[in-house]
Amino acid sequence: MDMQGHEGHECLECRNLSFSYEKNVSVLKELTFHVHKHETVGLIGANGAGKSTLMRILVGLELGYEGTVTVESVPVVKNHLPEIREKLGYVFQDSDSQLFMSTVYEDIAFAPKNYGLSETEVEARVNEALDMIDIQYLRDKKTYRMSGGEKKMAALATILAMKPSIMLMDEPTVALDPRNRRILINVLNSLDQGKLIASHDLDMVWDTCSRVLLLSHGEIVEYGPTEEILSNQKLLEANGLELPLSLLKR
Amino acid sequence: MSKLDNAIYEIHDLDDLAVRDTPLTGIHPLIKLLVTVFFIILTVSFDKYQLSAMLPGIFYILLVFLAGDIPFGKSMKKLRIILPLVCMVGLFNVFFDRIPVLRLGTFVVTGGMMSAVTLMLKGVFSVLASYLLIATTGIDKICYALRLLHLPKIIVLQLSLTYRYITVLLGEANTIFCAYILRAPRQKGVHFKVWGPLIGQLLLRSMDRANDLYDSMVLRGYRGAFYVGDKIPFHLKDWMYLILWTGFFVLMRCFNLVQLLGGLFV
Repeated sequence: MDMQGHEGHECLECRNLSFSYEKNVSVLKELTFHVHKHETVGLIGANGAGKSTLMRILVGLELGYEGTVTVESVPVVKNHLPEIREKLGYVFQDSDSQLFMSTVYEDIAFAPKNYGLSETEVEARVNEALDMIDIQYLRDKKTYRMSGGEKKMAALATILAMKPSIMLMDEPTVALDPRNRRILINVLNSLDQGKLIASHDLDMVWDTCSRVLLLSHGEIVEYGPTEEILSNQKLLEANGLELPLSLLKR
Repeated sequence: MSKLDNAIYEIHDLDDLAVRDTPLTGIHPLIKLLVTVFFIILTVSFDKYQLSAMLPGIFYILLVFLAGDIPFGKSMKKLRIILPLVCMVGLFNVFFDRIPVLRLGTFVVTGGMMSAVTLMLKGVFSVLASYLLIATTGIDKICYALRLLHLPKIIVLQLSLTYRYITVLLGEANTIFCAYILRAPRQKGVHFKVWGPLIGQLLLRSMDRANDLYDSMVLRGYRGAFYVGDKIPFHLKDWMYLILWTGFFVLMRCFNLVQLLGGLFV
């Protein structure tokens, strides 16, 4: 049992993770944390804190790190990347970088096809993903003719269709209108997978995450229950953040 | 819509043509590839004065347009730059080869005119056949067919990614151009002094985007080949398509069909 009172079953674990793009310029310093199965963890921090870099390391897009990173006990190293990437779903910050096929259907079907599912199974996966976030109407839409919000939802569906055991999301609510933001929050709360969500939208983090990891200049400043960290005005302000809007007195 | 926007739209439009349900999209990609390659080889193999023997090739082009339900006007618009260029290839023959070969009333047709038109037709047929192959098959299935022919994986991958990179490059160029024009409202086009930085930016940004897209593909199971569905089986209609067209092409090459047909009436 760990200090937060959770049983084991970590689906994502980092121990003493350090990383730098250039020599002597550390982007991440000695990070140690874990995400349990079925748990949603928020990753917050000011711009340049290292959130996106951490995400890229977790999915194996940056490999020259020190320390250990494991996904369901499989180390994130070159030889295990195909296995790791079947377990992880990563929603990019910029949806334009995520969608590359000409229609939403084809884009969502891309991963299931690559994982060798039959045409019928692929069709079922695509429909399931579209239904989950209520975007059946986008099914045959051209990805290059969609609004930012629609792209964001479609990008999320591309990952849901993979049925990953853990989802990593970089700024998932960016470009979403209030209705779609609410749908997304409901979807995130209904998903059973472990989730690590990097975001500046602290209200969304409040609504979806049970624990929060606060990063500053590549270091973990605080890691604990969401209510405790997000209601600590002094702590947030000292690290370039502000209280969630819903907690601000008007 | 800006010119760059339009170019991106046209590329995507071409992709969309290939995924519609038409009699031609149902033909196996390898068969369509082979027929197209055979047609192009046959077209370029004609002698420069064999204009009439080449003419039945129009039949193939028209039939593919019809069976593939490819909009003719839109296609001509897409090929508006390449077709005139192709047509210019044999233009100088008119001036160099002035030997009379035919008389149409008082009009003397020289060998140069004949060879210029033949060259023009060869070019137009080849471009149209390639265009029709892409419009009825799609680049991913063409790559699949190339792999079936055991073309090295690396070459097929290059072809597939280059095709995708074009839209990324155009998209980034469009963004940069919009940002420039909004801050230089009285200028027509881009001032030559900023061409260098803009092209540098374009290269760096499009490389970044291409890299992100590649990451996104890899994270979703991409292993160097676009998956086009379950292994595409060959059907009787595929073999019929191959046999009928190759038969027609062989006839076209061995006999002057236009002359034979003309002989029936004269």
